[in-house]
Amino acid sequence: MDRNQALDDLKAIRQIMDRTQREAGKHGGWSMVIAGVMWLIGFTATQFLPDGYINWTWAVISIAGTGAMIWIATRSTRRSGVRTPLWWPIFLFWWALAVFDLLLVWLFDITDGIQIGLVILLTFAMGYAQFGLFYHWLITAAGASIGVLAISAFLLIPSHFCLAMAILGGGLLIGSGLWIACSRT
Amino acid sequence: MNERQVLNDLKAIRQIMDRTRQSTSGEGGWLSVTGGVMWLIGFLGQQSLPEHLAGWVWLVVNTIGLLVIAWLWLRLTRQGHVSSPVMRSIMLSWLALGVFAALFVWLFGPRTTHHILLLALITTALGIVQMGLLFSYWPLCMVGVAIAAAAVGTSFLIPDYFLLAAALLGGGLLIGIGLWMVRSGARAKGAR
Repeated sequence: MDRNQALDDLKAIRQIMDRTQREAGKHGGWSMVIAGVMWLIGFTATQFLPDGYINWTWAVISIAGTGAMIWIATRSTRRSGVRTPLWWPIFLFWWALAVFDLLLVWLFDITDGIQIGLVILLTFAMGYAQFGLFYHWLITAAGASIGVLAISAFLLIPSHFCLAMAILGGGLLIGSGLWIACSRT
Repeated sequence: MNERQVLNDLKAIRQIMDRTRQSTSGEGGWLSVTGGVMWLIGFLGQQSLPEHLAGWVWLVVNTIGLLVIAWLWLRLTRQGHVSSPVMRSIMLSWLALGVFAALFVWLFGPRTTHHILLLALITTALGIVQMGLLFSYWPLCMVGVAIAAAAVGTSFLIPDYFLLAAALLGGGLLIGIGLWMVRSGARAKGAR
């Protein structure tokens, strides 16, 4: 590959990325807002509700949130008129992280609820940080911030870990998601 | 963005990806082979040598291996005489995985060598799967899944030979996929 060909490719990639980010930014931003609302409700419930209700709350939130994300993705696909093959790798990326989480919890025998929550949060933060490297710097910044917040809350205020994650983590996702969605309009 | 524009973009992306894959598969393959050889020698040393000697083997293998990787990386980035922002993102992505593993060890304290190696193996496997997804290079995803499955399987089924299995399976898979990439890259260049 010679210099001119490489520069042409990079220019083409930049143009395509700009155009795709403009189009997909709104969709990605709203997905972050939904994830933030899920966190806010789920972690607040985990902090205050009795144990028997927590799993049910998370189940309902997860189903409703995933449904909303699929609806947004479907609407976005219909608007552009084309099914891109990029959704599969993105879906599998998050799925691989979920399997990784399960393996960690199982292999290292993590049984404490707060510790399991921290593992999931850190994996989620890492996934956001990595995803943002190829998509939008703000997602990377949000991921890194969530990681720092989660560790700080775990070490400094373990009794209010879930509440801290609800307000700070959820708020961060909602705020950065709205910023991405609105700045691309 | 209309349908034609999207299809043109996708076609352009596919062409660029194919061209990049073909032009980088030589050095990319040798990177994988180098990683595989490091893995093979390091884990074999860990399995069969006393602990203090195994530490020295890892030190020497890592030093030589990282020098070779740095040289291959320089060749790869200089081939087009331009540094790609994708390469930087890939390196940072691996760095994020490393930071995660370090944080996990600090926070959850897996202290035995067996557990730390198991964590390193499944984190590396995740990274390989992610790279495969990034480049839509499915064989690489399969290698990652195979390494994770082999690591977990041998850890439970034959824990005494976990390191030997990690050396042969992980190292062998990385060397195999690397040689396959080198060969397919050479074939693609020959066809052009």
